[in-house]
Amino acid sequence: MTKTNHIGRVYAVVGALLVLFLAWAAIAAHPWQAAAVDPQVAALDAQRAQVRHDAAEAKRIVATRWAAYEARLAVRRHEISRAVHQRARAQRVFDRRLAVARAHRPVIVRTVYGSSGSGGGTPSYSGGGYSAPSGGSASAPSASAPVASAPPVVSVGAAAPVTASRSS
Amino acid sequence: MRRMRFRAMGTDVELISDGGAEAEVWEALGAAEREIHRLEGLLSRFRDDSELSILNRERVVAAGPELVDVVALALAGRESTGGRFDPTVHDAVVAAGYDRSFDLIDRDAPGGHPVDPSCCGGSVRVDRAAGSISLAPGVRLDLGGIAKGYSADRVSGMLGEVAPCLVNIGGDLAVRGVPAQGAWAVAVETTAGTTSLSLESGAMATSGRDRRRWRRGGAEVHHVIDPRTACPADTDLVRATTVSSSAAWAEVLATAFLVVGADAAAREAEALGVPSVLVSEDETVFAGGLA
Repeated sequence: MTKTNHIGRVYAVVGALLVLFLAWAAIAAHPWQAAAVDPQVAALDAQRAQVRHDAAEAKRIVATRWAAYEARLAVRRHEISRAVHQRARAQRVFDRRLAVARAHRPVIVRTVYGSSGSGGGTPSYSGGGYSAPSGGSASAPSASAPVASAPPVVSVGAAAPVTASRSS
Repeated sequence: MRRMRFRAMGTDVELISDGGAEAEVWEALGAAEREIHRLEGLLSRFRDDSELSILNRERVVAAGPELVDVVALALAGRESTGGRFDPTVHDAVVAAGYDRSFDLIDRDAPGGHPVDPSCCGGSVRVDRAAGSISLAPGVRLDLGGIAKGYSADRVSGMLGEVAPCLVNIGGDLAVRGVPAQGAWAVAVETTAGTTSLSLESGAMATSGRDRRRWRRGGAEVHHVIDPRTACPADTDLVRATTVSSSAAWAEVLATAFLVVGADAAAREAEALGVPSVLVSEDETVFAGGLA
């Protein structure tokens, strides 16, 4: 055997070992499998996605509610403005009626019974005589009416009562 | 419908409003309640510091417009009913035992002293220009029922500016405006049960001897005084309900009808065209156009 053949065998063995090692390393790396994912990282990723989704949903809800609130606010402001206007108008009407009523009231309303005039007399009762106020109508005398009132309109009905008139 | 209930003027008060803006209506209901308490403070005979009590003590008073209005209205009622409604029954109703708020009355006590019939019907002078009222010696006023009617009229006027409303002060009620259902249905007790009156405008009052009653000297008495006798009215009517343009006037008519009795009241209701429900112990009469 020559010296050259011996060195060649050594190179061959070393080369074989190197190939074997590389093959082993390549097989041990499981290149045909997907890379394993850390479960904690996966959970964090899922959580981040959920938070982003929730934030977007919350933003959408807030925007919707804000729009509804602004719409209601506009309506309410309009109602308040109208009510203030109506109240002022009603007050003007009331003041006008009051002024007219005061202007037409008798200066003195005096009721004295008895012929003595001293105030100690008693009224005479006619036992059934009944003088209707203001020409036969059942309305209150206008000079004494506390507020303007409409003539009564009433009928016997079948509707469910909302209240009752009882002797108190 | 929005309702507010509370006690005032010795009775139950009910305020009903239909329609209108929520906040504005509740604000108006609150103002109405305050107004009723204020009027009670002026017109109650059970409060020593009321204008009415001061008038009854001092006999002459510089009165506010409310007391002037109610006394003038009561005097107009006295004239129109021939004295069957009379605000000067104070001493008679006190002699009958109604000398304090009804909740505090002793319901069964010995009889008191007989009352002089002349205690009713004395002179009352109202001077609107001066804002003064004066009473003849021995005259004192009880404005109980008509004060409730006046208050119902006044407060319904306030509430009616905001929304259709009904103000019921112990059975004396006034309406302003028409509710969504077309009319205000009001229950009225009859002999057989209740009937419903639909009120579109105006007012209603019920006067009766069936609730405020008590015993004195073993006899049953009630609070509706007949000014002719200065005693609780001896009448065959239990209750009289009338409808008029104002609750104060309806109260005047109801009291006068109750005092005069069923037959005469029915005739007068028909003659005057006063819608009325007259209830005796065994019969209900619808008069004045009601059928």
